[in-house]
Amino acid sequence: MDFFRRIYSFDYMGHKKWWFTISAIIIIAGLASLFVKGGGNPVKGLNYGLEFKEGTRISIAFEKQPSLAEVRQTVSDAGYADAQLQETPNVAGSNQRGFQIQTVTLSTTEQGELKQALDDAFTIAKPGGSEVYTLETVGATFGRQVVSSSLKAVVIALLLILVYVTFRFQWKFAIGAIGAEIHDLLIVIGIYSLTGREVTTATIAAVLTILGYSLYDTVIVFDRIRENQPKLSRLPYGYMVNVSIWETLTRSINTTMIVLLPVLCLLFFGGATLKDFAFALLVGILSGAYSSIFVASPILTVLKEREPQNRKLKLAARADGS
Amino acid sequence: MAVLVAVSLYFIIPPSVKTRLGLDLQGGLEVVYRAKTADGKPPSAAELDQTIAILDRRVNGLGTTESAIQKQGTDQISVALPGIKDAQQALDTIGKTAQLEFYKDDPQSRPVGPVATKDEALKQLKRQGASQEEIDLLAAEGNTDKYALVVQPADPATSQPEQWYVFKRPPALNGDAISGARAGFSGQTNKPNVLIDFTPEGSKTFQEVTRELYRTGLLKNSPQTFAIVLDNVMSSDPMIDYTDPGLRDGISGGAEISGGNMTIKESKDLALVLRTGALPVTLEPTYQQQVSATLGKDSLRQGLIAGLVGLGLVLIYMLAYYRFLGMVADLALIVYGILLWGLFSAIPVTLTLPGIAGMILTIGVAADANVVIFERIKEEVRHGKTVRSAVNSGYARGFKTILDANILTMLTAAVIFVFATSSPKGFALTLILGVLVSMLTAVLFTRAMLGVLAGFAFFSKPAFMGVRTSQIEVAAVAEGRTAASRRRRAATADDGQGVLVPATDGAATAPAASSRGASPAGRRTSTTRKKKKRR
Repeated sequence: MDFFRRIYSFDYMGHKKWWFTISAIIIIAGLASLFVKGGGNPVKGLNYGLEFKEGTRISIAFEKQPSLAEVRQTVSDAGYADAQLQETPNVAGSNQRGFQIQTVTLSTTEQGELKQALDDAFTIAKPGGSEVYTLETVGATFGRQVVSSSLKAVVIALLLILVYVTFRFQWKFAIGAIGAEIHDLLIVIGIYSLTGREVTTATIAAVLTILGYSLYDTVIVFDRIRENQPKLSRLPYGYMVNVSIWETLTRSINTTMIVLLPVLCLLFFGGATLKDFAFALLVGILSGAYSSIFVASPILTVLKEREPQNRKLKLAARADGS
Repeated sequence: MAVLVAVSLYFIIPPSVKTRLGLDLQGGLEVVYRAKTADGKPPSAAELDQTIAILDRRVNGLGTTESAIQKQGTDQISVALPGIKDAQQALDTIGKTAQLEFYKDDPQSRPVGPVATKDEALKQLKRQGASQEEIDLLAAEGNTDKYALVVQPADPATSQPEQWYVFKRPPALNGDAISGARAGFSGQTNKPNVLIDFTPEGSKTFQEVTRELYRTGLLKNSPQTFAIVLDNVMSSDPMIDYTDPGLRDGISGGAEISGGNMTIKESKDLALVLRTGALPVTLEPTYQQQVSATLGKDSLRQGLIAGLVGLGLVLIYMLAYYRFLGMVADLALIVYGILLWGLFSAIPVTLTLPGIAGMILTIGVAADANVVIFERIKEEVRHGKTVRSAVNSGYARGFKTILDANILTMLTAAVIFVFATSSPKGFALTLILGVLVSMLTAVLFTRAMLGVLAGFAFFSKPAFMGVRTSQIEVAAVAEGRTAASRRRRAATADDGQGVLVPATDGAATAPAASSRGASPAGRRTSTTRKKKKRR
């Protein structure tokens, strides 16, 4: 209980520098990983899924699990000696053991021939009459298009957020909100690079969503700051922000918990695609909750404390306190 | 609200029939094509729309239901065929350009051929004075404004090897001259073929061309042929028999494409493609996903389990934390689930895996709205307001926060919906609908419920919403500085005289202790102030 009492009375704004440092360390670690893994090119520092690479990927399960070497032999005999094979305990989310085969881009005829060859050799599993078989083919331009359209979406979304928050609050709040957004995005990207998790279109969708949702807690705090400002105008700005955080802390914790519950369920019970979503959402939501208190509010405080009347209050308070 | 729920239930039941599943959940095929014109340029908007219309007819001709064809960006088209069995065949049929052309097979219209390789054909054309630019384009795209590079596949039956030709554009006739096409059998070989009917105009041209060939044959004393070329592949090269006087006036009826060893299914598909017309562009698959029905079903089951368990946990959390209010919120959440599902079935939105993820996330967002409002209500109760007036001001103030937060979520979702490609799009749409419906249930519905319940005596007990009586009086002890600051705030707002010290931990106890005595007064004033504001 002592911990809980303390978080409701902690001087958050007094430790701004600490929070900025912590965030900076995590972000720098992520960026460093991007640069190191990408060999100098940060765009290459992520483990992109097939959607971003040219080629064909087949996920398949057989009636009796053959050895990896046997499957490799069959694929190689079919003319794809340089195909990448991987055994998987869970073919595309079914609970079937099977394989992932990644080859160069196959034409429809070649796809049919390879499937036939595999079926002849090992017999594709058919629980309930339909085959456990998925195929994905991606051309050279698709991945680039997904990335470029997503980047466009991020920039436009950030601009809209900037405009909306400026309109509803004030530009200084907007800077805080955007700072938190960029912080969240960098953290998610950094964590993907550090953990080497595969980046899929699902990941990108989740990251874009985080952009919208991670502001939920920030808005709650900002809303309270806006409300408290006229009432507590005699308090130093940072202290008033502290008060606002204390007052809204329960709701920040609860809203985050409540969104995390279903996301965690997705992470535990969902198939491969849903897990991708859930992981990105999990990181983004946690980061969003953190950044509302430790990034957005401190940025706002820094900006506001530069205003002449606030600076005076702060100095007076410092003199009083010592 | 009851009506809305009933309407939703009507749309949902039975769910197995009325919920439209995406191909990742029921199995099927999705292809994203990149379109370009015959000479490799990006297509115009009109060409793209025309292509989509033709694809639509072809897909319907395949007998698939619930197919979806969508434009993506300026040059991409995505085709989704849920539940399709033979993906290979479907792909071949849909993506065919089906540019049917008839060329006269004489040296004038055929500058090159037959030769054994593509390179040889291009080399010969070069020798005849075509520019390098022309040759490069022809090599890459198979077509230019002036020439068409045509291959005649090897025929195992006559052991004739592959042969290459270059024909000069424009052809004697093209696909526009066709009024219909149907699968049939060739009279001589009894193999499947496709019979083409011409439009009146096409028929006239065809007759002229064949008559000319007949006469040339007669003059040269050797039979003349013409070439039927489909997408740069010669599908047949019929001979006009100059010894047959019946052909003196040319051929007027129709033509047939025999095309080697077609299966019956292939001939039917070819007829379909020819009937629906040629695409104004060529399509190149850039993304293809094929999911079998079993895997789709598994994904759906996992998604549903995750959704239900997630919903269950949220319900328990709300109930545990907010007690009676939590119960109201839980009811609202269940109503939310039904309404959202109903809306999905009614529009209908195709439910995909990303869509399910979006739905599950919105469960949290919907509950969040109630958290914001209930926390506000609890706060007001702790300030000493009666439960009823706390509910009123809690909603009034909480709503403002929720509106801002939700508008930001929806703004971003809308941006994703407009700019992103297929899978994020489904996610974004779900999120937008979810947030809208959640405003209805979490704010309006719970408000109405509480309004009704406010008439009962038990309602006025703070314990019903998880506020302990002790918290109201001795909040200062329980919450330390928070409560203190609230008192202070009340004081500042009211008299504006208090000298305030930004508290360190030590300083916190002093104002808290001193304000405890003064709190009833402070509380009363703050209440009056708020009431005034509301009016």
